[in-house]
Amino acid sequence: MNDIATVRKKHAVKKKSNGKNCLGENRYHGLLYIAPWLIGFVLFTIYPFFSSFYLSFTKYDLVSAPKWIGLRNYERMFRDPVFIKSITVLMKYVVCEVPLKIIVSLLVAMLLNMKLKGINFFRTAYYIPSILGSNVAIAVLWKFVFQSDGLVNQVIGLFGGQPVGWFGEEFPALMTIVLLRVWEFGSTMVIFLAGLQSIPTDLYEAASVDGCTKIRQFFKITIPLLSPTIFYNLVMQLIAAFQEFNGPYLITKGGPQNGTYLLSMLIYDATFKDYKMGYAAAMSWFLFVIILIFTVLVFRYSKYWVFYSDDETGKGDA
Amino acid sequence: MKKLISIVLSAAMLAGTLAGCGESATNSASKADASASSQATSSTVSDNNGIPTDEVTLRVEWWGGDDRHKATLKAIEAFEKKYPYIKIKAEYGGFDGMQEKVNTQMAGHTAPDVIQVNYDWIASLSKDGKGFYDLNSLKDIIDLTNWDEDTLKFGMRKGILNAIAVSTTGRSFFYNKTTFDQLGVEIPKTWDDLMAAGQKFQAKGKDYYPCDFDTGSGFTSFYMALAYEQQKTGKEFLSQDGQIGFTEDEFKDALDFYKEMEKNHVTRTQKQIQNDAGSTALYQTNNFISGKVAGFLEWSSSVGKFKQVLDSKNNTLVLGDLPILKDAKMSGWFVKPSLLFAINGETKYPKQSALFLNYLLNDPEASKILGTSRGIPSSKAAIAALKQSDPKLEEDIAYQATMQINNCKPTLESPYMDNSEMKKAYVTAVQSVSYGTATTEQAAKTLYQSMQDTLTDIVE
Repeated sequence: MNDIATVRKKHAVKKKSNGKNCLGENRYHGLLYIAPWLIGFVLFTIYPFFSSFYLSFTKYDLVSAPKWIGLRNYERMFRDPVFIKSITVLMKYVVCEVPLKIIVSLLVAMLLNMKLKGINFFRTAYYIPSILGSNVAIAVLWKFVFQSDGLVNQVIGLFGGQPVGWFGEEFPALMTIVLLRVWEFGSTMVIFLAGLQSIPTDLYEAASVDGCTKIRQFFKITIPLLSPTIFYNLVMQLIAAFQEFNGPYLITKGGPQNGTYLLSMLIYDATFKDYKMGYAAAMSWFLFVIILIFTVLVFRYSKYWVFYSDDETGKGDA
Repeated sequence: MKKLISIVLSAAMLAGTLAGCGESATNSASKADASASSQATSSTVSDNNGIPTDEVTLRVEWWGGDDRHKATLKAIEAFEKKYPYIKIKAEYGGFDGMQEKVNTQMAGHTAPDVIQVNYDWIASLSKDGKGFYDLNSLKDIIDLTNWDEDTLKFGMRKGILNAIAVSTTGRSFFYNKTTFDQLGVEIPKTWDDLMAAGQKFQAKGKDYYPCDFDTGSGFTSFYMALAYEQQKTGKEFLSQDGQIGFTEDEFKDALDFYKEMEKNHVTRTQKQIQNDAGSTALYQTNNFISGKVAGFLEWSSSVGKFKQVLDSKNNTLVLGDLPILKDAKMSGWFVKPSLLFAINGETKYPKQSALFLNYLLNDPEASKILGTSRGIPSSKAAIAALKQSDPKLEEDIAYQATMQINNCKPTLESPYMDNSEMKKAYVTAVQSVSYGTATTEQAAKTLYQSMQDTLTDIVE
C-alpha cells in the first residue's frame, strides 16, 4: 500500500509541474478542445436548469411572456389530486421496478458468467431487448402480449390459471410497465457481468476447499465483492426509474384511472398539452428534489453495505 | 474522492431531468417587428392579382395519413405549375406530437407560413386573436364567400378571422349490419332502441355489444351523454366563450344515463375495454374485427378506417339515425371543424400564402386532386367541383354522415370543449362512475369543480 501511495504522490507532483509549464497557450488549447461539449452543456443543461427554476415561479403559456406568481405553482401542486396520485403511483413503480430489475439482471449475469460453449451468443441474445429500447414497435408488441386474449393470458391459461385483466386495473397495468423495463435488463446485466469477472477466482477456490456451499459463497464472497457494482447500478436505476416516461406514454397512456400516470408524463402533458410551462417547471423541480433525496440517502447508507476492497480513501471519506 | 465524483456525476444526470422544461421568453416585440418588415419587402412587379412575382418559397405544414399526404403533395405540384414563381416546401407527418411541434415553432418564431391547425389550438395559440394572420385582410385573394357564416365562425377569435375550416364533422352512430342481421336485431333509431338492442345482444351472446363508448382521447362515452342531456334540457353544456351551461345535477343526470347504457349491456364497461387491448384503437381490436362489438360513435371524417376493416371481412357498415329524444328541446349533437388552415402572423409572404390557401380550398382543380382527404370540404366551390368529378360521392358513408350532422341543427362545439385538461376531467368522471370508485353524484361534483378550475385558467 505504501508503495502505491508514494508512486501516486510522485505522479501528482509531476502533473503539477507540467501544468505550470503549460500555462499560457496550451491552457486555451485545452479549453478549445472541450468547447463543443462545454457549449452544449451550458446551453442545453445549465441554462435550462436555471431558467426552469425561474419559470417555476411564473405563469407561462409559451405564447405570452412569463408572469411572476411567486409560490403559487408549488402551492397548487399539493392541492392537485392528479399530482398527488401521480406521486404515489411513481413511488409504487420505483419500489417495484428497481429491486426487481437489479435482482433479475444479477441472476442473468451469473448465468452468463458460467463457462459454457457459445456463451457469447447467449450474452448477445440477452442484451438485445435493451437495444430495442422503448420504441413504438415494442409498445405495440406489449399491448398484444398483455391484451385479454394475449400471449401472457394464454400461458396462464395453460397452467389452469384465470386470465388477468392487465390493462383494466391499476396495479396490473403498472406491472406491465415494470415488466417492460425489467425485460430490458441488458446494460445493468453487462455491468454486473464485468463486476463478477473481476472477483478473483482464488477466493472461491479457497472457500470450496474449506467446504463452503455455493449459496454461502454467493452471500459471503460474491455479494460483498460485488457491492460497489450493485451500488452503482442501484443509483443509476433509481434515477432512471424516477424519470420513466416512455413506458406509460406508449403502452397505457397513463390509464386506467391515472393508475400509471407517472410524474414525468404528467409534466409532459402539462408542458405540451396544457401549455402550463410554469406549473410543469415546478413539478420537475419537485421531481428533482425527490430524486436528489433518494440518491443522497442511498449514498449515506452505502457505507454500511458497500465494500471497497482496493480503495484506501473509501473509508476515510465516509 | 470516488464518492465525490459519483455525487457530482449523479447531480449532472439529475440536471438532465429539468433540461426539457426551459424555454426562454423572448420578447413579444419581435413579433411586431417581423410583420412590419414584411410589408416593406413587397416588390414592385406583380401579377394580375396584385401578387409579387419574385420567386419565393412558402413553408406549408399539415398532419394526416398517407392518402392525405399523397393528395396534398400532388395538389402542391399542380399549384407550382400554375404559379411558377411560388415554391412550396411541404412539412408533414402524423398527428402524434404535432401539437407539441406547432407550439414550439410558434414560441420560437420558426412556424411555417401556412399551418394546418386543430380547432382547440386557436384559443390557446391566439389568445388575443392576433396569434395568426387576419384572413379578412386577405379577402381579395381568398374568396371567403364560399363559406357560410357558421363555418367561418369556427376560425374567429376575438372578432378576427384566424383560420378557415376545411371541413366540418360531427359524431354519428355506425353499425355493423352483418352482426345485427345475424342476431336478428334491428338497427337502433332512438335511445330506447339502443337500450333494447343492448338487452337483445346480451340474450344472444354475452360477448356481443351493439355499441361501444370509450374514455380514450375521444371520450365518446361522455360525448354521448352530453348530447342526451342537451336534448333533455335544451341548454348548451359549454358556451362559445367558455361558460358552463349545465348544473351539477344535470351532469349527474348525464353520468346516470351513461351508467344506464352500461347496465343495459349497450357498451362494455371501461374496465372491459381497457383489459381487451389497453389503449389500442377500437378498429384494431379483435372484438371489433370479429363483429362482436357491432357499433360505435365516430367522426364522419374518420369512419373510413373502420369501414376498411369491415369491408375486408365482408361485413357491411351502415350509418344509423342520430338518437333524439321525443320531446327534445334541441338536437343536442355537435358539429366542429375537423381541421382548419391558418396563415402565420409573422409570415413574410401573406399574399402568396393566401393565394396558396385559396387554391387549396377553392380551386376546382385542387378540389378534384384532394378529394375527401380532409373530409367533405365545406367550401361551396370545392364541393361543387367534387360532385362533378365523383358522381358516386353521395353514396359515400362519410358524406352521408357529414350531411346528417349538418342537417340536424347541431350545436357548434365550444372551442374549449376539446381542451386537453377538460378532456381529462370528463374521462376521470366517466371512469370513476364506470369503475364504481365514485357515485354519479360525487363524480358530477368533481367534474364541475375541475371544469370550473380549468376554465378560469384558460378563458380570457
